[in-house]
Formats: sequence, structure tokens, C-alpha cells
Amino acid sequence: MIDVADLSVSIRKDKAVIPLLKNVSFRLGPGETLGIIGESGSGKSLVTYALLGLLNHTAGLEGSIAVCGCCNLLKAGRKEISQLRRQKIGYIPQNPQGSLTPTRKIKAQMQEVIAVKTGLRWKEAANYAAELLVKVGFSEPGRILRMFPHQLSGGMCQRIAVAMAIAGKPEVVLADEPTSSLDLLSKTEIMTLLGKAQKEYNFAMVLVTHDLGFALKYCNTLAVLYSGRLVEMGDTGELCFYPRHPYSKSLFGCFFNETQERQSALFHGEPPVFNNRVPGCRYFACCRERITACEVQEPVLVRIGTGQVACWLYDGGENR
Amino acid sequence: MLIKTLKNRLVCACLILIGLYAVVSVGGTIFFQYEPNTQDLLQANTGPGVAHWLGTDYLGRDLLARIVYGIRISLTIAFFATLINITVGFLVGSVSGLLGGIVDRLLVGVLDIFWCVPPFLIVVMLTVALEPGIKNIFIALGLVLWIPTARMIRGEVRVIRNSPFIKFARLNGAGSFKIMARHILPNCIPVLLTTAAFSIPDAIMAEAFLSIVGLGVQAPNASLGVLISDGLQSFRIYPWQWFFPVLTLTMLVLCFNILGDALHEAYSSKAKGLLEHD
Ligand SMILES: Nc1ncnc2c1ncn2[C@@H]1O[C@H](COP(=O)(O)OP(=O)(O)O)[C@@H](O)[C@H]1O
Ligand code: SF4
Ligand SMILES: [Mg+2]
Repeated sequence: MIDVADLSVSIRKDKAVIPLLKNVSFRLGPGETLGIIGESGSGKSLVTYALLGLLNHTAGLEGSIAVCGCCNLLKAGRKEISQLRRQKIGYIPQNPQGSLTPTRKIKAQMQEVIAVKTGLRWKEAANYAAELLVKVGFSEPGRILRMFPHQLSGGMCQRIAVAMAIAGKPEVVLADEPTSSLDLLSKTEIMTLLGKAQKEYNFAMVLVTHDLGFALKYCNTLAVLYSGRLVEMGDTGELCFYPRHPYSKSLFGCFFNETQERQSALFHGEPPVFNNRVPGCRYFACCRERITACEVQEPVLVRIGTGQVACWLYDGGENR
Repeated sequence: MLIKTLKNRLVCACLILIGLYAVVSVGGTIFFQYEPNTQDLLQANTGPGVAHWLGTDYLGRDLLARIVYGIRISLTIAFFATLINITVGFLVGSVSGLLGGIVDRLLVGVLDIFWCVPPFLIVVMLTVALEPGIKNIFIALGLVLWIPTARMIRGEVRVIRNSPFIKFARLNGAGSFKIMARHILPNCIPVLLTTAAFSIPDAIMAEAFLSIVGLGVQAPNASLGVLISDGLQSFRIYPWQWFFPVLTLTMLVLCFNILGDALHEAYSSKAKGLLEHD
């Protein structure tokens, strides 16, 4: 369904090449969910952009992405990409209220999306829109359809975005921090909706999130990004209870056990800036378990247990 | 939102007044017994009274009739100047903002050059070159006024282009043309309307200025500017000849300005939500 191999994204600035994403690979089948976690600016959104073909004009793009029968998305033309977006991929934005056009009523916006995605006529699209709204939990779809986005709350807008995403019965759904701007109740609502929709349509989902709780509940696989590097990836259960990479350890340690001691250990040094080119591990400055080898060379992703980790501590494939 | 704006009494009053001005100036001779250009030298320079409500000028022409006629000319000039302004401004601004690249750089260059020349200089030069007259005044005004409009629209288009809802529409599979027609340009309309509302009083004032310096509407036709300039000459002896045209002009410009403000307010509070109302 989704097969990303060695995806690297870099930009050129003042003749220096700055890698924003380096050698990210993962696979995802129908009905499966991959959770991408990592701090802000680590490149999580970039992964979703690459999957949507938004980066195709960029020069520093390497690797390959196969999605829903499109063998290499990164080389695909305009037509093929818009075909994919219409029929195969649903996208759920981070900022739902800002993502709906302020001057148009919900009805027109949904009709447009539905018409484009399903080929229905304008009038039939209105009926389907109401149907979809019921599906995402609105009891009075007619009233909602007559409203403008600014009359709705963030959670309601996000539900509409979910409705738009599933309008074309997608094979892949990309959700870029779908819950980060919502209150706890709406968060749970949106995630429940997504879970239900996934059961119904059996789509593969990439869920970028800061909510580890949801990540644990909804994802089969987790990928931890740090500074544009995939530092650890593995089965959700294994990764969260036995994290190997020091960054994952502090992330999940913080999530499960927020003692004073752990917290003070979290803020240890400063994370690297993208354009300073340290030769060694990107996490070196903050790492509490670093060894001398770490500063010299960057660790590569190695297989260990059921997952993969990029850290010199596990170079031999063994947990020391 | 528009309905809410209409509930504002001041705005309502302005609209009614503008409507009245428009009706009376179009109706003109239906309402009044005097022709604006008929001279009656025996009645020259009479003060406001029963026969001539606002008095007469130095040729005995009825001032009220001339003011009404003047409003008509001023409004016509303002209307067409604004029409040229928003059409050209919107076209150039949106093309520049949408296409980007070399076209954008070229157009911005042209705009920058025009921006550096005092606008009145261009208007004066144009009216001199085209010969003074109603048609040429609004052409000249329109050709100057569109420059700030185009800059504004270009900026707006560029802001909207990069907003999350455009990205979302694109990711939902909308084509470039639909994104432009349904998502980008409609969102420029508020700015365009506000610009238009402010461009009308600008044009009225500019026309008055041109007429006062003698480059405007030519005798015997009267615009508000011509009336003011005539009134100025005998301002000490027959102040009403100057006062009434000035009052009319002021009211007209004030009404349009209040209207423009209200429009601007309405659209910006709509975009920003509740917090703006406190
Ligand atoms: N067009 C761009 N030009 C330069 N840097 C960019 C660009 N887009 C993204 N970046 C950089 O890429 C990094 C990853 O961004 P992003 O994927 O949005 O992070 P996340 O979603 O994990 O918070 C950020 O540090 C950002 O500065
Ligand atoms: S490679 Fe070294 S510095 Fe990097 S995370 Fe592992 S132990 Fe820490
Ligand atoms: Mg992001």
C-alpha cells in the first residue's frame, strides 16, 4: 500500500546542502496504522508532504515512494498526483478551522470535494455530503451545511475535514497532527471517528501525533523521528514499553512516569540546528548515554528485535 | 453580516443620503423648475429665497439646479473612475499575484515606477494631454487610482495563496483553475469592495481639485468642483454661492467614507471572529 524507501529531502541554502530528512523507510499495508512521533521541526510533516507529492518540484529529493499502485510518486507528473489525491489519498489537516475556505459555506466546499473525488453531480453531492456529515457524528447536517467555517468550532471543522477525507473511500489516509489544536473531548471524538472509518474502509493510515496515548491505541507501528532522522521504528507495544534509543527512552519515560528526576534529565543540552553539520549523532548534545564513538560518526539504522534503531549503543544488534 | 451592517443607523443614514443624491441628480429637471444652464441676468446674485431656494450665481443661474446637476457629473466621474480603477487594479493585481515569476516581477516594477510619481502630476498631465472634459477626467483618474488597488490585490492574493485552506483544497484534489476561481479570488472581494468604497470619494475630491485649478469640467457644465471654484471668486460678498456646493461635496464624501469604513469593519470582523467585537 505505502512503501517508502530511503526518502531523503534536502534544501540548498547559501550553497550548503541542508538535509531535512534522511533515509526514511517504512512500509504499510491496508488497515494498518503507522504513528510518527518526534518533536516539532523534526520533519514529521515533511514525510506526509512527500507522500502527497507536494515536494515533487524540490531539487533535493531522493529515494522512492510507492503508494496505491503508483510506483514512484516522487517522479509522478501533475496529472497522476492529482488523480491519486482525488481517488486514493485522504488528508486531515492540523489546523481544521484555517483549512476551510472562510468565504464559502460548508455545503459548497463539501460539494466541490465530493464532486472532484467521486464524480457525482452537484445536486447528488449535496445529499452525499449530508450523509457523510451524519457519519461523522452531526445530528443536523442540514444546518451545518448552511454554515460558514467561522461559525463552527475547531472540533466540528475537523469532523468536516474527516468527512471530506473519507468522501472518496480512500486507500490511504494521512493525518498530520489531527488532534493537536483540539480540546480533549474533541480529540477523542476525532480519533474514534478515524478508527471507525479505518475499520469501514480498511485504509492504511499515517498518523502524525504528539499524543502518545492515541499513538499507543491506534498505531500498529511507531516511527520516532529526531532531527530529520528515523531513530527508531518498531512494533507499538515493544517500542513503547522497551524503547531502545535514548531519545525514545526519554520520550516514553516522560509519558509514563513524570517524576521530577526524569524531567530534569529531559532538558539536557540543546537540540541541533538543521544547518550545523555535526559529523556524529544528531542527538549527541542531549544524550545521556553517549559514548565517544557517537561524536565521530552518525549511527545507521540497524535491525534489532522486531524493530530498527539508529544508535551506536546497539551497533552490534545487541542490547548492551 | 451585510444585514448586521445595515442595522447600523449611521450607515443607513449614509446609504439613504447617497440614494437621495443619486435619485435627485438623475431625476434633475423633473424635480426642479430651473435648468442648470439657463441664465437670467436680472436675477443675478440673489440670495437664498422662495424663488431660488439656494440663490443664484453671477449669471442668474439657479444654484440648486446647478448643484443637483453638479452632483450628477461628480457621481458619474466617480463611478466610472472607480470602475476603471477596480477592473484594472483587480486584473493586474490578481494576475501578478497568481502567476508570480517574471510576470509578477515585471508588473511590480511598473507599479513601483508609477508609485514614485505623484499621482496628481499624472492626472494633470493626462487631462492636459487628453484635453479637459468629463470623459477624460475619469479616464485619467481611473488610470491613476488603480495602482494602489493593484498592489493591494496582489498582496492579498499572495497571502491567500499560502494560507492553509488553499493547501487543503489542493490536497483534496482541486485543480489550479478551481482553486483560483473558488478559493483565491472570492477571498479578495472584501478588499476590492473596500477599495472601491474609498475610491469613490477620492475620485470626487480629485475631480473637484481639477475643476478648481481649471483642468476639470468645462463651462457651462457644472461639477461640484466648478461650482466651488466659481463660488470662491465672490466668496466675501455672496458666501452662499460657495457654501452650498462645499456642504454638498463634504456630505457626499463623508457618506462614502463612512460606508467604506463600515464595509471594512464588517469584513475584517467576519474574518477574525468574536474577539474583534469587544
Ligand atoms: N520550505 C522549507 N524551507 C526550509 N526549511 C524547511 C522548509 N519546510 C520545512 N523546513 C524545515 O524542515 C523541518 C521539518 O519541518 P516539519 O516537517 O514541518 O516538522 P514537524 O511537522 O515535525 O514539526 C523544520 O525544521 C523546518 O524548518
Ligand atoms: S548514538 Fe550515541 S549520542 Fe546518539 S543516541 Fe545513541 S548513544 Fe546517544
Ligand atoms: Mg508539522
